[in-house]
Amino acid sequence: MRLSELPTGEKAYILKVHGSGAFRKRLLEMGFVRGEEVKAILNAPLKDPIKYQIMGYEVSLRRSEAVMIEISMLKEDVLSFRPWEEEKQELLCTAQQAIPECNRRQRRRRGRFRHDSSCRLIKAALVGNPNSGKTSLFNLASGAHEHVGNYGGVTVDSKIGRLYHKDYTIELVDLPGTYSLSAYTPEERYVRNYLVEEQPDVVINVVSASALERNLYLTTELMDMEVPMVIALNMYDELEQSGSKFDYPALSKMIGIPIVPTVAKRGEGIPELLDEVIKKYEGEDKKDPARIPYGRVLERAIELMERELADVDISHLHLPLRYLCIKLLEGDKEIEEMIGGLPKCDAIRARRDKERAYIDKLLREDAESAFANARYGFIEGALKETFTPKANIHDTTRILDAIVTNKYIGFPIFFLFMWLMFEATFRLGEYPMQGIEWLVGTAGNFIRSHMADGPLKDLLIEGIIGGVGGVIVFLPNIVILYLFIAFMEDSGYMARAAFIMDKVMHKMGLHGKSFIPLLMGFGCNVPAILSTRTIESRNSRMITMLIVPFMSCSARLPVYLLFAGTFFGRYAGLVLLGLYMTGILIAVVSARLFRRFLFKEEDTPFVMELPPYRLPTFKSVMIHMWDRAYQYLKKIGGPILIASIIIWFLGYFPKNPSIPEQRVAEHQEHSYIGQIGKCIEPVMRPLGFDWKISVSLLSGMAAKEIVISTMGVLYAGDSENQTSLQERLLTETHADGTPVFTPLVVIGFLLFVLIYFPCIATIAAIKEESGSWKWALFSVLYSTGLAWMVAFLVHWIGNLWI
Amino acid sequence: MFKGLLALWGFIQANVQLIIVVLIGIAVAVKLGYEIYRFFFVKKDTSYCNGCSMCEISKIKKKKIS
Repeated sequence: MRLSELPTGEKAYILKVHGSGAFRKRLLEMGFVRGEEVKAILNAPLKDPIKYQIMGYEVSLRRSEAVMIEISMLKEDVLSFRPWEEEKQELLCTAQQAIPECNRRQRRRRGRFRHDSSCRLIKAALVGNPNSGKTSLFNLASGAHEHVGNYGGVTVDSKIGRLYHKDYTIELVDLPGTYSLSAYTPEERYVRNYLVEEQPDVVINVVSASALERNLYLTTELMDMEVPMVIALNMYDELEQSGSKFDYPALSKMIGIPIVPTVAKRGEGIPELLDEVIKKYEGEDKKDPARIPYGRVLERAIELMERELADVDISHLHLPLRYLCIKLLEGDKEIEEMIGGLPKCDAIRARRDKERAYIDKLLREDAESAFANARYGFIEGALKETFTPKANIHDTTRILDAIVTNKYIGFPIFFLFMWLMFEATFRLGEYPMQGIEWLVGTAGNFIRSHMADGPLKDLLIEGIIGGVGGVIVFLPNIVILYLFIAFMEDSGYMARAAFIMDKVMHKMGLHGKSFIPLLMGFGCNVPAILSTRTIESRNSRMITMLIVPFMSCSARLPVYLLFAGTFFGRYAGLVLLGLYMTGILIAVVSARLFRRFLFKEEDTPFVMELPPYRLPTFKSVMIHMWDRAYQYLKKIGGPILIASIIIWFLGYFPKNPSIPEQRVAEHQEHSYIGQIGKCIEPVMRPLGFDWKISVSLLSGMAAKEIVISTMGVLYAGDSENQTSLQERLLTETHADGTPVFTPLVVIGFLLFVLIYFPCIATIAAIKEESGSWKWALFSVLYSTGLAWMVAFLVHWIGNLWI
Repeated sequence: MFKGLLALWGFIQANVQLIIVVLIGIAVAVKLGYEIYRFFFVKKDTSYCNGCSMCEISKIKKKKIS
């Protein structure tokens, strides 16, 4: 029987994982090993993917992938498999004892990490599964404000923060979340390379107490690597609340690694954790870490491999001999490349192949599965004596999931939430927005009435207040949008959104994981493009990267708010939602096209953990909102101010004495910016855009908010009073008296802003992540060409209609 | 000499706003020129966000390991 056939609510036992490569490895690492109990929890609204419970946590798999897992409803079928059972019993016994024979080796190995005790700088690396709370711990310990979310893959690079504790400077490095240290995904490679090349003084292994068994898998790999380690048992409050009992001191004694319970989001346990880090660094921790016993068959294979490598110098690889042998036996490609340069490499490979065949024959499974099984066997044994789980640990999660992923109401809830988000952004933001607008107007009028006429006065009123003031009024809206995004991320709803959208993503030829970068794109496209690194398949990664710019980032929001609010009145919220949805639609169509013509090939597996729901803390939501407000203000004070001044200069000079001072519009038309605008106007004229709109769009290439500040400067008008930009746009007319902003022009303009590339930073990010200017240039041409085409069609078809 | 200084002072008084605007213009032009130069010619650390510092991610020093 296959896992895809398991009825909802039923349990079964895993017999075998079929398939090959990264997908299979990922399944093994996530606990889909022989004998493990798995339960089908529910189907996504579109019947795919399916949510399963395994090892006390929840994971979603596509039906087409679940079919690769062989199961049996009877436990006897698993137990009847003798060779494996014998090995497992052996592992269960050995795990419950300390393993003294490894100590000598361990001490010798530790020399690699020896430090100068006079130096009081400790380099500590945070390593753990995705969503285990590393970034929360990093933020709390180092006082940083890094982005965290209740879903995996938020950290895609390493970040460094410093903190001071008991006369020590601890340099904390937050590494991307990873399930293991094999070399299948970019994050796994990244973390392993960091540990090997940078050699941190202490590794803080962050283990989520809510999914102990799976999290400890990575711990076993770190133990194999023989790194000096301290375990932070994070989210310990959840474990306590669930009623489960965990004798972590006993486990600590058993594996010889200090374990400190922490609640990173509240800062509990962090001083104790840092104390242990210092102890480990100073060598005060006398415990010797245990060595993972892999059972008779695998140990024999490792030993023979060690003998083969005994007389080969591998010191330059900075890896323990035993770890090297294990990885070679597992078939790790990167390690295999490493030994390529060694003398005797052919003999080593021959020995490896022989041992792999031996394992296959004796254990009736391949070496990769055998090692994963052995590690989980060790973990099971270690937890048997120390951990008493309580059934139904996440009842609230189950109830909430039954509602938000329900096949009938899952999608309506999702769209309702989206609508609510945009409506609140617009409606609630309106009140503080009016206040800021009044302040901007008052400041303008004050200068107008108290300052002598001259270029400085014009610069202040038209350039700075007109430009910057037009952008600053949207600050409340940005903050409110981020309140919702923070809530979605921190609560765990974001992962559910990916779950229910996977089928749609799959139809687009994308991975469900692509949904996370796409959602992140609503905040800022640059980190969204960087987060595509978590997608294993290059083709899916490239497609996601190229469609992220169609997700309306927060920089585009002020443009939408200004135009929707000015021209669509009470329907502004709906227009806003419509724009975001149009962006998604364009992304879907583009993804289909890219998959069909540019990035064919493979389908990608969908293995995604669904974290339990967590109530976001007031502090974390406030940090999100404050950070966003701060960054927005910083941007206003930096590039937007500079751009406003430049646009003003270009619009103010050269002075034409034949045009009276009061006729600002006429004067601008003959200025430098007017000439630039006139130059590009022929290209934009078919869209109904005048030269001022064209110049605004051109300046918006640097950052989208600059579109507004440019308009603030260009549509200064001839009025004696400081009027809001909205009013100025509404009254703007062509020379013949017809309004510049007709409904068709406004729609075309909004679509143009939505579709053409968001900013230079995004293009640079695409270049960096794709590794070539070719794709960056393609993105610019494709998005701008498409924007022009869509705006043209709107104008052309609209004119036919009207 | 004194007459010249007086004339200059008169010019400054009459065109104080223009002079400030020109100075602002020079400062902005220098800043813009520097940014363009940095974008094209300075090998910056693009390992994180390609050197973009528009959001919170780049607030702390980041390090990339190849």
